[in-house]
Amino acid sequence: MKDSVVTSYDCITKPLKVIKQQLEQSYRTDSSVQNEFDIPTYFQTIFSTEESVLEIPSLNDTSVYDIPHHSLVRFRAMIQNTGFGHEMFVSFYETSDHKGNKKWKYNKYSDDMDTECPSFSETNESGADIEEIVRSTANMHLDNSKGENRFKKVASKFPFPNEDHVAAIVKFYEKDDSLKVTDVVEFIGVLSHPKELSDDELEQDDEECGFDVAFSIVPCIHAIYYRTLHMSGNPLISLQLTDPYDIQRRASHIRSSLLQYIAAAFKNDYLVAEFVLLQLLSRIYNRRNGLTLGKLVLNISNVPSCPLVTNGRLSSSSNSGLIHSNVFTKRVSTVLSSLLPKYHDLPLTLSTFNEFLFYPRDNDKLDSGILQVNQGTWFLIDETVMEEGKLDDIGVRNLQALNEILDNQKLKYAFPFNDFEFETDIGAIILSNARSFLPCDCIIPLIPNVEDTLMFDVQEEILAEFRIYLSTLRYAEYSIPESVSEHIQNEFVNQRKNASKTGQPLVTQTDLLLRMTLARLVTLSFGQFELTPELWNYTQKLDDQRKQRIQIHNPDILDADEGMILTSQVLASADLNIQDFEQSKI
Amino acid sequence: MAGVQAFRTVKISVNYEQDKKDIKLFLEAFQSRNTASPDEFMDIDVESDDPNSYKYKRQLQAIANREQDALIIELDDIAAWEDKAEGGLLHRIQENTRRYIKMFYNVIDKKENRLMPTPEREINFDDDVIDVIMQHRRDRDSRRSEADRTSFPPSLTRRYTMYFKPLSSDKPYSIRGVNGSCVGHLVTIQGIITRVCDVKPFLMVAGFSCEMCGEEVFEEVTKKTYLPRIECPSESCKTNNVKGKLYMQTRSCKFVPFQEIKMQELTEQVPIGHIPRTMTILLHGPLTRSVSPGDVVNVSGIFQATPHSGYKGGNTLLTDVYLEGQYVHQLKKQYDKMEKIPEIQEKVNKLAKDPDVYTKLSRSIAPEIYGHEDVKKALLLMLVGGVTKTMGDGMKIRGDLNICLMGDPGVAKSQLLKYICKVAPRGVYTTGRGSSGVGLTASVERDPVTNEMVLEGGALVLADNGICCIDEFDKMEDTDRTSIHEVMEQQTISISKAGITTTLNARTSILAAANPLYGRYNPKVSPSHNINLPAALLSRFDILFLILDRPDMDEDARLAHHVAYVHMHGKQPRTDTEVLDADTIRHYIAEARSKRPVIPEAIAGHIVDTYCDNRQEQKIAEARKKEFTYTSARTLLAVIRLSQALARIRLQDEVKSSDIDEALRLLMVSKETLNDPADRDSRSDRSPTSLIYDIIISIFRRSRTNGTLQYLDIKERVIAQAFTEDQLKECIKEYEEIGIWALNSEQTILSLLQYDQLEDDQNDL
Repeated sequence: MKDSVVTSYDCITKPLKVIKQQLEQSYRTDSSVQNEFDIPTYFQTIFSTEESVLEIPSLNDTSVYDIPHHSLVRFRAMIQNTGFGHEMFVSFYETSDHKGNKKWKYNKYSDDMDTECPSFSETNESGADIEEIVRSTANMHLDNSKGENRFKKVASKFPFPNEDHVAAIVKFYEKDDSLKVTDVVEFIGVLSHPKELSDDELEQDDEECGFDVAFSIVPCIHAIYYRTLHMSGNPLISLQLTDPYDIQRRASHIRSSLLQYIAAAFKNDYLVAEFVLLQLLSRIYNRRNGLTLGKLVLNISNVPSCPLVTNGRLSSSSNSGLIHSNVFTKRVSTVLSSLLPKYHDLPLTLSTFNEFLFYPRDNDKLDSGILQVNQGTWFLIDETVMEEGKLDDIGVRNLQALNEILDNQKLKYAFPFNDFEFETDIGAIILSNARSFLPCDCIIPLIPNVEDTLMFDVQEEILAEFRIYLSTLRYAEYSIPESVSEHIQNEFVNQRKNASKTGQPLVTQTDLLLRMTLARLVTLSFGQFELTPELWNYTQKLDDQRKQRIQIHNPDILDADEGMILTSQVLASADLNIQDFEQSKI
Repeated sequence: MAGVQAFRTVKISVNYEQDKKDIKLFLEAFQSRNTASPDEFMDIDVESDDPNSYKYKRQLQAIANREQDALIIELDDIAAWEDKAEGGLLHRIQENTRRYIKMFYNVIDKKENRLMPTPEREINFDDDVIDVIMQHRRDRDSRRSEADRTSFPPSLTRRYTMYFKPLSSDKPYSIRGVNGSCVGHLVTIQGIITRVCDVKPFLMVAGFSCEMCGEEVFEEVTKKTYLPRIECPSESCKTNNVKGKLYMQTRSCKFVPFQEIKMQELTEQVPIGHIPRTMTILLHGPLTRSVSPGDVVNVSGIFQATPHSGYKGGNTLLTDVYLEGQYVHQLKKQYDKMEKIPEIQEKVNKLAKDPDVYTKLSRSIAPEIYGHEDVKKALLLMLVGGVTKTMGDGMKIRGDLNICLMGDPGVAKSQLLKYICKVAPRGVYTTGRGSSGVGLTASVERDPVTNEMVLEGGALVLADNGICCIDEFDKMEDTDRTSIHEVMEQQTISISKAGITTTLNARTSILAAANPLYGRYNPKVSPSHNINLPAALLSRFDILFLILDRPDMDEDARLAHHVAYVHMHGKQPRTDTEVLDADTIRHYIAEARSKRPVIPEAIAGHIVDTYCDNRQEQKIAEARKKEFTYTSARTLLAVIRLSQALARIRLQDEVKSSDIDEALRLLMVSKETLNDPADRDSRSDRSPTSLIYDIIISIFRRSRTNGTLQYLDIKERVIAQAFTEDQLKECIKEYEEIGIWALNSEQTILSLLQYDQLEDDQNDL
């Protein structure tokens, strides 16, 4: 390894050796350097191209034990917990061999001591160069190939029982506070295999030293640097594989075929499909001074209950966990999951409320909750499976957390003695028989056009196109020209004037806010980035159609304040009967 | 390689021997300047040589007398004694604390130093069994040769634990602020205690005895883990060449209490989007049991690193960190007493100086809701509240304001309520439909486990000293609503149920929101019919606002513009004032609530006058059958409460007449909302200029000063009603031009040109 040219292959297979070499070299050449050799920049220059990065084995698609210990890995993950404290590491120590020759050893990005030296003398206390490491765990779900038993203990860290995941501890050597919880990033660093533990050791959960066994069975990554992915964590956007103009050009075309695809799941109800499409394009695009813009929680009411019949008996909802059991919902779920980068089922039953944890909670160690997900994750909430019964303490808290998300897009992490609030951007579509008891921005009753439709079968290429369409347009820039804004304002004033003359219900501020949100999504869905009067009128027409439907199906919903009542009621009393809601709905 | 050497190795040139001498000197000679410590009352003229003024000598004596088990060395004392800025003993103690603790122990333990005095009182062997054992050993040792004596580790016989108390000027760190450069230093960190383990005995000195020769061997344990000695090192075993086995003797070991606690960062210490960090703190000796979970404390200690142990580590160079506790300072335990955070306090102080603070604060209430400025002002005053008085005979006059918002659906009543709930330190939000009267007040329940009767506080009791927001007030059962009557006037809740009769305090403000009778306000029927709440209840609300959703060209246009602007630019349109965050508002209100403004004699007359005027006006209105609310004695109280709240907002101890004007204006506005809208529109010229004109004219009317007024007086009153000086000037200029009044050249006196006409107007009324 004399040559100074270090290949990316060396960096992948023997990163520690490369680091050591570079450090030694830098001290040899310049003894006065106060600041250390910049390893992250060095690695970043070596892996400057996308192709070279892709050469690094990824923990996401390779099993931990298939990647050699101490080699360079990539790991794309969502940050779950940044609450770990600092650790100290000895970055230099002196060793002496049999002949008493003293030698300095460098240590960074590794858990293990250099075993080739027989003796070592640690530098004395005041001389030791101690730097900080910030630990963070990261977590991401994908195929796991290890035995069930091994990962059982980590279950509290990963809330979705039916999905596979890989977890790792990531350690940082540079001071960096920019990474936040639920960010999705790709770490590049040195892999340390988890310690081989016997079953006894696994069983022994030492409460006293407060140490979490779960962390010793996950691999550890000593991060050299990381790359932030796009907010959504969607690789389609972050890798810039798509040409945004192409999508824009073909937007109308893709839009109509996508509508058809979605409508198939809703018994060919195109109006509902249109709203679902708009919902899929929504995101929180602005949050300032308590202002949250862009949220669109959609409630599709009038959804039929058709329980899943398996082997001639009804599958009970309690043992299916977090998987939809309503056949109709299942279908919608299939369509949504084929379109969205991150999607989860959330059937609302008493058992999901009472048995799962929706919000992260710290009981000496932080347990994750279902709602701790990265930005741009979708939940399909199915209220049709709700039954009458009692919510217990956890259930009420879960409901509170869900309400808070749907209402303000904020999630409280429960810590002893105080709660910490985190901002979220979670998409939600609620399916319900009658109006949902959860707060929502927009209600639309379903009117089936056909009794049963076959699932629309689309090719993978078209699906990919749908996905790119959604993820590109969701993050597109959008503006309202002054003239259109003027038009909207005048129209609003006139509408109210006319309505009061004819005695029709007035258009309220809430209506206007919803329409402004919808107008943005309508504009984007046509691949346009600026609101025009035509698009505004189109939005109005959509909303009017929706209102007409409500009038026919559930006229009581029109009272805008009603939505609040039921939820507040839930929170008013700690113990409550779902029965009451059902009655009040009828 | 040379470079590395130069880079890494630091020769420390510390003369520890000199430091030891200094320590000895310090302990012997330090005299606290303030001779009388607060817990001991002594004559003020103490001789400087009074033994009690030798702070540490006194403490050592107490230790020798077995009256004290902790020696606390205050670094403040060392700083005062040393009087050196940099690089002194103090600095070295702070940076290498562990070592200096050992040195202090050494200095004190050293017999030649004669620091540890002989006990002043007879030490009875009843005190401690170890004294007996030690006596035995000493006796035995004295019979043996010098070399053969058992070496006792000094810590075995030490009867105290030494701690450093950090400089009082030390700023506490947050947990994430402590990093590698602090290792070994004495640092102070602030946080909340989340977990406290049981106190356990910690082995400090292990005592062994040899099975062959009976020799006792002691070993000091300094680490968390240790390897017990197995082989006897005694002379006799060595000479006999037998390998005596050592057995641990629990009786001769020394244990100290030991406790592990976990501290977590406080909410304000955590950057947004991060999870709070925790730190392990180890407490030894007398410091154990000094904290309990939930305490907010400053803990000072030595920041230490320990290698990973057990199956977590093994062969590793990574280390965990912990804090070895030295000193615990309890911060205020009550949660309702707000911690003053310096930055926010600064903001509050700055705000207090702002003459516009009233407008600024009121605009910052629920900023996402457009308009309703007067409603927001009233809500702000409710948060601040008036002054509660307790009379000599035990009668209480409530200071809390009650407000009722009545209005069409979709006018953001619920959002206003929720916001208030969030800002108020003790806010409870409940809905009329969801809560029965019992749920709101208090209930008696039987505990299913113990079968005992338990008193459960409802929303109102929970909001004691806070605000209870009741949404859907109209949907409540009548019987339940009556139970609120008591709360609203007497501020207590009486329960007599299941054999328990008691009165609970419910000193809360009530903010109620209600929909009109038919869901939407029907202008065709009378207001009282629409409101549909009994008059007895309505009169208990200080202010009742009717928020109707009426099409109004200007308002609608402004609202539409607001909404459109928000969507176009992603932020609220720039207003004159910046929006204050909830935390600042909360702190400001806490500050304001500490004031108890009184109404001076002179102003009392002003109130009486206006009250009489209002009664008069009401008479006229009644004649016209347009009025439906009544000006009663309760209105008078409402005016007083509102004006007190206004004075509190100015952080003043006295109510000014401008406060009363604004209080009256708010009441007027709230009444106007109840009047027939058609009536209102006729006088809806509401530009600031004409509003200011109205104000000035009314001042002219009330003041009997022959048509001249001090400009400063006018300014004060106009600004108190939330106008700016610029607007005032504009108004004066405008009306000057049409010859209504004239401002003198010094701009100090405004004189009315047609004073007689004004008099005539008044007579007409």
